[in-house]
Amino acid sequence: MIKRFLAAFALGMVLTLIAISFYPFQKAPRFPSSAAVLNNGGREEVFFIRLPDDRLGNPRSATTAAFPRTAFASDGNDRIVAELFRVRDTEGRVIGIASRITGTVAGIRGAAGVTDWILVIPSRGALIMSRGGVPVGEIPELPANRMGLPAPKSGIMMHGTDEFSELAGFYAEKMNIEKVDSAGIVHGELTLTTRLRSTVQ
Amino acid sequence: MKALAIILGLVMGAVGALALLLNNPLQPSRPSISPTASVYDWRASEFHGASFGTAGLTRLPVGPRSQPFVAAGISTANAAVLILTDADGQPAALATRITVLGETSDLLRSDIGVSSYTNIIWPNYGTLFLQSNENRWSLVRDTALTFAGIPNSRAKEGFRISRLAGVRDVIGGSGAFAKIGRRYVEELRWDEENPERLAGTIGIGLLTDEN
Repeated sequence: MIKRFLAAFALGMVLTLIAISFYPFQKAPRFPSSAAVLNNGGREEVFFIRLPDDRLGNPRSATTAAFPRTAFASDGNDRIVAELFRVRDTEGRVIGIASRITGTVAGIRGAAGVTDWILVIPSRGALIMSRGGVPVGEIPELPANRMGLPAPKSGIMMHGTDEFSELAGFYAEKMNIEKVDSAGIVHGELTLTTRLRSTVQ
Repeated sequence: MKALAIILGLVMGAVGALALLLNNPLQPSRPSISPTASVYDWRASEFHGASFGTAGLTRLPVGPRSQPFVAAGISTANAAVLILTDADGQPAALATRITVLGETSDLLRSDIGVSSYTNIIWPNYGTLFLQSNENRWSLVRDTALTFAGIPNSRAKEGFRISRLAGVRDVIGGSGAFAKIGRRYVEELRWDEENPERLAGTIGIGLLTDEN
């Protein structure tokens, strides 16, 4: 009797641990990359944000409510703004989430503007990009011509994870405004163009 | 009688396995916030998408419900705007955070992975990008123990979610934070003002040989 009990105990333990090891955690569906190969080597992938549909929440409520007045310039030009968006691929499918922070930080010659982007595609990884920021550690060698992207609205990819982990390069943002409605809401499309190349020699 | 011994043995074995899981001696240790770190409490002023409490992590109907995005491509993610407050309780910085359910979770290793990406701005001072591969096992364990009626003070102390090593913590920054290597450690707790949401404490310290 005791032998049967002990054998069943061991079996129950093993079966439970096996069942636990196969616990079905949720996984994000993977959408194929729509990257195009560039002539000079590297790849270009474009992401789209439709406004106002893809904006998550109201950025103003987060940036002004709880902050001391001194954090913002009186003319409103260099206030900090935090925004969250859904991100679409070239076929219009929602594939990721992005955040954008714009603000003013301390610079060598006084105040300097900075724009930071985090773009996360759950099934593929994250792209961390900045205009004004600098990565910690070794900075990969990048072409001086920013891989053809316009300098005023472009920045560097500071870090990538998973599928983007061995890539370096630039991004550019472009806003196409269709109209501003009577409530002051912008309608249009924000385009994020990334041009990246492998860091593996 | 023989059948009863077998059934009892199977049930006791299953209970033993679950008890072993909840008190896994091999579970990885998680660091606490260093006393020398700059410490900020945070609370979400905006939150969208799946909540990664026990319900969102395991899909079990326990604890606050998760309300994921409808779009399949982002159903395992959430996005938030955070307000960081200093030791005096004053707003010190603003942050955005995007969090994604990991795809390498393994209950046998007491590992429920979540990747989080945070961008903090201290107005007129500097910005930081943080990346973390968190282990939120302690949240699930706490819920399981509470469900089983076992006293558990972990929720009040804060859930340690940072790992000892393995990911690049502080990716980069601007202004006063440019080019300086740092690491950060974070603890979560249920938000007292909004029990459906998580709040937390973040400690950012200089990168040293010890950490």
